[in-house]
Amino acid sequence: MKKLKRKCVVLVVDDDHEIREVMDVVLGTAGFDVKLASEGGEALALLRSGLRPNVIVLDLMMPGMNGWQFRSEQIKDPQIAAIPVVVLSGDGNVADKATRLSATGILRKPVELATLVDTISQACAPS
Amino acid sequence: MSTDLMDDAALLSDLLDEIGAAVCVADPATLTFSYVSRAGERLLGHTAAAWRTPGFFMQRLHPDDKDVALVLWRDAAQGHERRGVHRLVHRDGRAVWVQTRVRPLSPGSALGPQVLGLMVDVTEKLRAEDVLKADELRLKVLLQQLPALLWTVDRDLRFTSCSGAGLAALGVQPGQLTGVSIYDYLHTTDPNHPPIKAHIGALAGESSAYDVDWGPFSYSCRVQPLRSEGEIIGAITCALDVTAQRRAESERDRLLRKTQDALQAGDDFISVASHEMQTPAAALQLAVQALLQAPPQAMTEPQQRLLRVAEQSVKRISAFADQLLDVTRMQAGRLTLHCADMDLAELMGEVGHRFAGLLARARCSYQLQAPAPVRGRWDRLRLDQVITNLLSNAVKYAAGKPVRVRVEKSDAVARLVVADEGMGIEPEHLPHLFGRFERAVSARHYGGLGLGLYIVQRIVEAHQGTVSVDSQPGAGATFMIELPLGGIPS
Repeated sequence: MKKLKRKCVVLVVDDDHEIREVMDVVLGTAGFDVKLASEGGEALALLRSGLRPNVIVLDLMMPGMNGWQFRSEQIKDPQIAAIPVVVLSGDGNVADKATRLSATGILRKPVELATLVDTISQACAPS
Repeated sequence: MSTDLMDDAALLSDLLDEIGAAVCVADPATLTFSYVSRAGERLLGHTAAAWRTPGFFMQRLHPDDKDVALVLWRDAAQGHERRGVHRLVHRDGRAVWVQTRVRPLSPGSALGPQVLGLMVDVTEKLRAEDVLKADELRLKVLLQQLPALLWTVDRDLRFTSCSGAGLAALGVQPGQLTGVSIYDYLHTTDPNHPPIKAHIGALAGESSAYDVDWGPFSYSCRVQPLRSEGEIIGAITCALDVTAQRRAESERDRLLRKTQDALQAGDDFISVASHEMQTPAAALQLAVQALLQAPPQAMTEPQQRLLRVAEQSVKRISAFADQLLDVTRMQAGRLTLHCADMDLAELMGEVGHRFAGLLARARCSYQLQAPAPVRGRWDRLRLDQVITNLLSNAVKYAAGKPVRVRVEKSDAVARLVVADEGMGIEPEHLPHLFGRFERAVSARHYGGLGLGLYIVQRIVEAHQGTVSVDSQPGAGATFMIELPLGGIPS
């Protein structure tokens, strides 16, 4: 896994503790600066308090504010609307469901580590 | 006798012979006949001469009816006209029912007091009446037994009759409705009220049916015009009590809904469970893959092997969860395809390449014959799944023997053939092979959920294609998939 030259900030929004934990480690090891939120509301609070990640990795089904609600709030706020979102969900129909979210990337759990890192890297530095 | 008189007598005799009834003249004291017309000969099969023999009539009287018959003739001798029905015995032994009318002949006959008799054969008429009576009785019994109602109305829609076992259930006495207007009975004059509409239609010559609920009872009614000599004189309705049937239908619907709900709940559970399984599988897979990326010196070789086992295992768990989800989706008819132009031969090569390790471990040689691209508009991911399932089965059952794959174009179809030389499939398993949870071998010896071929068939059928299998026990199995080259016809 090659390390990134400039640290990209990734905000991982997922209600599953183990997913947050492993994402923190593997993305951190891959050279990303990882921030974590356990649901949409917490992620929005971080963003509104000034956090500006290069990419948001978003789970869809979460208690509290779910992924769709978060995305809807994000798009309404011009300060954070442009931050790219990579959807990462265990939903078998994630491709269909995420189309409506205008996501930069769509990943289905479980995801290959290499695919995860590639997708986030591309979202961080769009050509 | 003068010539004129002889002519008159002959004319009279001819006339009497033309009458259907047997005309006879007898001495009431001895019942000896002095005359019988030709019909008498036909009536009993005896000649007129035989009729005139003394004692003939007494012999021909049916033993059970002798008294009835003799009273008629004796009363006639007393100057009364009498009518009656009794039996005579035909020459061939059968009983003949006759309607007899006897009266004294005008006094002053040269032969002394004589009685004139007219006898008509009513055997057939009585038989027909018996049949009619039996039919009526049967109908009456039937109507008393059947949970039905039969009623008639006249052209003013007034009941003219109403019968059937259903009456008692409705609290109506037989005859109670006769003369009552159907409007009064139903408390409405609305011509669109179904029963009224049906009866009005019947008066116009139309037959129709309607269902009606009377209290707790449900009836299915059929109304027809009632005709007499071609004229519609009213309407006749047969109403069958279908209460039990309706209750059974309602119960069946309830049970069906309950079963569907239970199945839906099961499918929903599988769907959620599958989704929930993917999240820990994702965490585990990422963790294991991250560990495997550690520098070689950081881990011993056995540790690396164990991590690879963990990685493969988590992939299998995830694949099972996917299969369950796919099946529930397919079962609910929610399989949607995302078709795009693609090359089946290239996909086959790619999947085959992915199977290299598995084939090697199973010690199966692999031969792919795909000389040219086979292009079509299909769902690549779904066809990947089809090939993966077929190849998995082939490797699983080939038992170290070769696995051969062929992709070709033929007429308007793309054909993909996966053949192994393994244990083959028993003929009795072939018809069910593509069913949900079906397997041709014991689950104890060969793992898997038994869903692979079901998924294959559903995906192929969604592409408007076909899947078939040819196998002999001990001689391997050949699976063939054909997909329309032009993609899915709309």
